[in-house]
Order: sequence, then structure tokens, then C-alpha cells
Amino acid sequence: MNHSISELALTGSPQLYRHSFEIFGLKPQFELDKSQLTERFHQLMHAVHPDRHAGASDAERRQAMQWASRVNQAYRELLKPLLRAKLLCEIAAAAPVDLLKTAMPASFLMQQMQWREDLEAIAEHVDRLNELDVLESRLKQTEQELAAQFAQISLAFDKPDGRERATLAADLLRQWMFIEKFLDDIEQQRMQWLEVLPS
Amino acid sequence: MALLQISEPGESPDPHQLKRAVGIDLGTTHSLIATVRSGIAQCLSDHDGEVLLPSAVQYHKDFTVSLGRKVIERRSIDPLNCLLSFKRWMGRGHKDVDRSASPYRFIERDGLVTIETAAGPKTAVEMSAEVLRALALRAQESLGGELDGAVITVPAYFDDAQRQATKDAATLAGIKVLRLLNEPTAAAIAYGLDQGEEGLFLVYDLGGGTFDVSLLRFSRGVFEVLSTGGDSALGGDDFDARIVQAWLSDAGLSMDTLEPSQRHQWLMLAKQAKEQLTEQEAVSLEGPAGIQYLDRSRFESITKSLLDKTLVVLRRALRDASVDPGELSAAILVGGATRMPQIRRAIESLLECPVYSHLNPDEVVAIGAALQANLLLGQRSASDDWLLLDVIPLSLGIETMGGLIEKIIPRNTTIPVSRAQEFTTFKDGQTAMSLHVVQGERELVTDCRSLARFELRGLPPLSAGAARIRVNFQVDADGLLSVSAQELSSGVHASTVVKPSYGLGDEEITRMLRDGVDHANLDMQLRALKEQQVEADRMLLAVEAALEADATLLSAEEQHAIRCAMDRLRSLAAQSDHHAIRHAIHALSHQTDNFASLRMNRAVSQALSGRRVDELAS
Repeated sequence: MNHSISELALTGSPQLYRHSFEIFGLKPQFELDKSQLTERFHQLMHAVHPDRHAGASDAERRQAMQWASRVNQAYRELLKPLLRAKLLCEIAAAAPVDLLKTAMPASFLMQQMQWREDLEAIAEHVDRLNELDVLESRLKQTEQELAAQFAQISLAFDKPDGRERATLAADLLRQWMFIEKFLDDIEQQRMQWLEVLPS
Repeated sequence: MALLQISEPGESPDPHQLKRAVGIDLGTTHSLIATVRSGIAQCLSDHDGEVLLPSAVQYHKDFTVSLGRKVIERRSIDPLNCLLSFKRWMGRGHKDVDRSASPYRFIERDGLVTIETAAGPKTAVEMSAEVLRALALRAQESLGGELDGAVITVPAYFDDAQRQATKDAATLAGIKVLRLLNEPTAAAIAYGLDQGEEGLFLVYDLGGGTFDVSLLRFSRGVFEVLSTGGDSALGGDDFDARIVQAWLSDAGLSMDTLEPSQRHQWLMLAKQAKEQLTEQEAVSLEGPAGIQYLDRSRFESITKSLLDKTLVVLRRALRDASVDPGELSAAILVGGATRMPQIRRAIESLLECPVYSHLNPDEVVAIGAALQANLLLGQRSASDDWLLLDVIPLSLGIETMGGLIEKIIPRNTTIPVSRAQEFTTFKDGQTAMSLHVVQGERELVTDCRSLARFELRGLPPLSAGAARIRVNFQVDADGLLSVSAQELSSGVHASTVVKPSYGLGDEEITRMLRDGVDHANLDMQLRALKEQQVEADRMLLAVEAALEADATLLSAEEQHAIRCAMDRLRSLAAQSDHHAIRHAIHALSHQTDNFASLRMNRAVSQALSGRRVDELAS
């Protein structure tokens, strides 16, 4: 089977299709006040959650479910830096960004291989959990550098050549995406070693 | 004048209009029902003053049913028809259940766990419905009339099939379900509202047959579940079984050689020993094979692996939420099994935070459910307003090539949630495709729970790879999944044929309903009519309130069209054709779609303009 994920699939009010910054009434930018975001999330949920419309008509309850689903998704998209960055690229480029495309600079591919080897080597180490923390913090540092680079580039997204900049920035996001997935693998590995892996 | 449903003043001005809202904790060992009276949530007791109804059902040859304590007393006389701990079979397949540990006559029917009884084959859904019916009756007597709605609790770790089975049981019992609520979340609501304390809380809920852990943040009137974990087949019952095993091996006996009635006796004795060890250092009890002795240290050592299993789940829930134990404000103990002293000790030493257990651990879940039921029926004051944001406990995915799973909605995602995935055809002219939906964390289909198989039919015949079929997964606020599909290039809605892997189809529910009412000498048609009339009333009231508040959002023509649909429904509801009423409800619902959308859009922009809706109302 061949398929791709599209995060947003809702029918109903056109308002639901506005991008996530608009849903939250926020200016599209990478810098974000997390406590303000959470506050707005709660305000929106107070208005749209199905529990707030339990006694309403069927049509309104259906609307409530669609809205609450959309607000949840938008909150997640704005909260996670990589998803937020992807959305900013998409707004600036006015086109979807595919983070799973594998085209990456050769130097980054080399780095990837090195990390993979490091992870394998750690499994044999006596203090493997500690070594895992060290590898994780190295990756997190790289992730932060990529985020900072992106933040800088994204400041110029509203310039006349914003569209081209956004397309270039998408390459950065693919590297970032790789790191995110690798961090997930590390967490999975850690849960396995701590013997708390879900069954 | 109220602007929105949600800004209706909390306290009803006319006490006669108070709605009868209840919370029901449908437990493995016992069940109970609670309600809110004069602002205070309390459990309702039966004629003997007992709050706990043992979840035990006895089926008789004449199709009558006994419930509760007397069933427990009779189970050594009639072990095959006295059914206990059936919650463990909810939404489970015949093959999933360890039949060797139960005395019952299991039969396989549509793959579901089914027991042959004196009154014929019965499923856990039907048994649960009996318990729910008895509790609802208790509440009706106590509150003086029919119930307007119930919140029923389920273990947080229940999968989709188990939740659906619970909802089916309520349908069979004729109870209107306002919401399925996760048990630990219900407990957190009861504690949160009791203490008014904000912060991060961990709920450790060990019941008779299920175990849950949930992490929640409570701040400014919002209960937000951050992560949840559990084991829907681990509970206090397993501790009893360990004691029996130990005693039997002392005596050179084994479980397999015992008669069903003897098994019951041993298990009862073990339960008694476990309960007494909460207060005492050691117990001696007269059993089927003489005096049985057990002290705390042996009890703790033979059950240590069970306790350890719960701690693994607990640590995972902390990791999933990226929370360090040091950040916790308190841990909350829920469920009768948390009375075992070693559990409290383990939690205290692992989490190093205050441990709360001052609300009755048997009652606290029902209390929380009653509070939410009250809220959902719109009976609240401005000072007592809160919102609950819960999560889905297990990842949802679909089978891909090679028996692997592609996750569509990961565990601990806040609900309701909607995600879509696109598929294409792999053969020229293909007009159908099938999808297998599973739930679980493992990578292989065989290690996960099969939820349903969907067949999409009526796709336009296109060349391979040209069709774009968008399959939408919607999980509602009860944690229940629904799937819809559409072919995007042609706009054709593929019809979905759903075959639940371990659940009842609509037809079976209808048949069970019919069977049930036949025996109660009630008319099925009458019941259907009454249900539709209640629904019509509810709908008319809701639309009327919406029009009263926001008619200005509509043009005169739109208003007229809605009024016409209402008049039509009103006149049909006064007659006796329940099909016609249902159609009219549907028509009115369709007619109000746009209005609902306009109202919701306005609610959203008001929410963000910083003005709280309840401020606007006053």
C-alpha cells in the first residue's frame, strides 16, 4: 500500500481550514510564548470542547467535535518546534513541505552514519544508560543549532524573496526531522533498557 | 439572555427542572452509582443501605436474573450460573481469555467470549447491562424519576473494543450515556475539586481486575491528562490468586484439580486473608483444607512481581509525559486494592511526594463521574466550572505490507482527534480495498489488538496508483474511533463495511434488546418511540435555545426554514411513528448545520478576543 499522511482532514466550516497560527490568533513567527499558547489553547477548548455542548443540537455537537479536533491538532503543531517551523515554511512557500524526502547534504549523511554507529556501540557499554544520555545531549545540541538557524532564516520570510528562502529552509527541516526521529529511537532504546517498554 | 449553550446560568431557576444526572463506576468486583444533590456528590445506597453492588449476575432457568450479594453467597451452590469478574471479558475474543482459571462453560460465538448459562448463552455486555439496569433503577427510585443521562467510567487503558462494549451494555440497559470517562481521571476530578489544589498529580488506580496510571495537570479549571498507562488484565483478583496458589502448593494441590465450587471457596478465603492483612501482621483462617496461615512478609513476597509490574507502567507514564517524580504535587491512590500496605509504601518511596487516599477509594471514581455528569447536563454555577482534556491510551494504526503497523494516532494524544491518511490502488480498475485497523504499541500486527476490518467499495475504476483515497480516523471524546473514506479525484464517498473484530454488530444489539424486553413483557416499538420522542424534545429545546440567543446570525429565510423543520418535528413527535420522528430529527439537524457552524465560529472568536463567554452572559 502506498500512502502519505496528511495531518488535516476535516470537513465543515471553512474557518477550520485556516492555518494553526490563525486558529490561535497568533502572528506566524518562530518565537513563541509557550504560556500564552497554552492559555489560548484552554480558552479555545472552553469554547469548543464537546463537553461544553453536550446538551446542544446534533449539528452543534458535530461542529464541537470537529473544532476540538482541529484545536488539538493546531496546539500540537504550534507547540512542537519542528512542526511549527514546517508550518512557517508552508505559509511562506504557499506549498506543502515534505519532510520525508531524503535529499540531504553528504556531510549530514556522514554524521547520521556516525550517530547510528555510536548508538550501536553504546549497547555494549557497561554504563550504557549514561552513554545514551551523552549521545542524546549531543543530538539535542545539534537540534538546537538547527532551530536557531531556522529562526534566523524565518525572520526574512516576509521579504520579497521569502518564498525561495522558505524552500531552502525546508532542507534544514529535513535534517531536523532526522534528528527528531533519531531522538525517538533513543527514547525507545532507553525504555527498553529501563524495562518500561510498552507491550 | 444567554449567548451560548455554555453560558447558560449554572443553577436552574426552577428546582423542578433539575436534571437527574448520575455517575456509574462499573467495576470488576463491584459497581456503584452516585449523583449530585444540592451541590454535593454522594453515592446512592440500596434498600439495605449498601452502596457497593457486587458485579455478580446469576441466570435462572426461567430467564429471571439475580444480582449482587446473594449471587456471591450462592456461587458455591450454583457455580456455573453465578458469573463474576465479567468485566475482564468486555470486548475480548474467545481466544484472548484464560478459560482454565474460570469454572464457567465457555462457548465460541462470533469469536466473542460467551458463557452457556441456564438462561442460554450470555456475553459480558449482557451481564454488565444487568448490573447497570439495577443501578439505574436504584437511582430512579432515589431521585424520583427517569434518569436524564449518565457518565460511565472505564479503565483508562481500555481499548476501543472494550469501550464500545461498555457503551453497548448501557444501550442494552436503556441508559443514555453522556460520556465514557476514564476511571483515574474521574478520581482526579473528585480530588481536584475537593482540594482545589493546582499542580501535577499522578493517579495510581488498582481495582479488582484492572490497573491504570494517569498523570494530570490541574490548573485554572482545566484538568489536562498528560499521559496514561495501565494493564486491563491486572488487579486485586490476581493478588488473591497468588495466595491461593501458595496455599495449594503447600498442600500439594493445584488449581486444575479443584471443582469450580472449591475454587470459589479458596478465592474467597484468599480475599479475606488479603483484606485482613491490611490491618494485621498475620492471619489464620479456616479453609476447605483446614487452617490456612499467611503473614505479611510472605504475602508481599509472593505478590511482589505483580506490584513490580504496576511500577513499570508507572515509570513509563512518567517518561511519556516527560515528568520527573520531583515535579509531582501528590500521588492519588484509587481502587480498593490500594489498601494493601505494600502499595502505599512502594509509591511513597518511589515518588517521594505526598500520597492522598483520604477519599473512599471504592467511591471516589463514581463521585468524579457524578460531578462530570452534572456538568454535562449544564447544571453548574460559575464558581464550579471546569473542563476535562483526556487522551487516547493506546496508539491506533493500520496494517501495512508484511504485517507491520503504521501508527496513525499515537498514544497519549489529546482527544477528540482527527487524522487522515491517503491510500492508492495498486491494480488497474480496482474498485474496492480493505483496511485493517489495530490498536497497540508493538510493531507487528500479530502483537496488537485487532479492532476492525473495513472494506471500501464503490471506488471509481482508475489506473493503478491514480486513485487517492483519503481515510479519516476520528476519535471522539469517549475515546471511540470512527472511520470514513472518500476518493479525492472523483469525490466519491466509498461505502465502508465495518466488521468489528471483537464486538457486537448493530443487529446483535437490536436482537439482545428485543430478547431483553420480551422477557420483561415490554413492547420494543414502544421503547423505540419513547426514545425518539425524548430525542426530539431534546433537539427542539436545544435549537429553540440557540435561536433565542443567536437568531440575528441568520437571514429571515434561514430562520423560516429552521422553524418549519421544527414545526414538522414537533407535530410528528406527538404521533406514534418512530421512524418518521427519526427522519424529522435528521432533517432538522441538517437544516441547522450552517447555523451551528456560525455559532461555533463566533464562540471561537469570542474565546480569543480575551472575553470569557461567561463574562459576556452577565
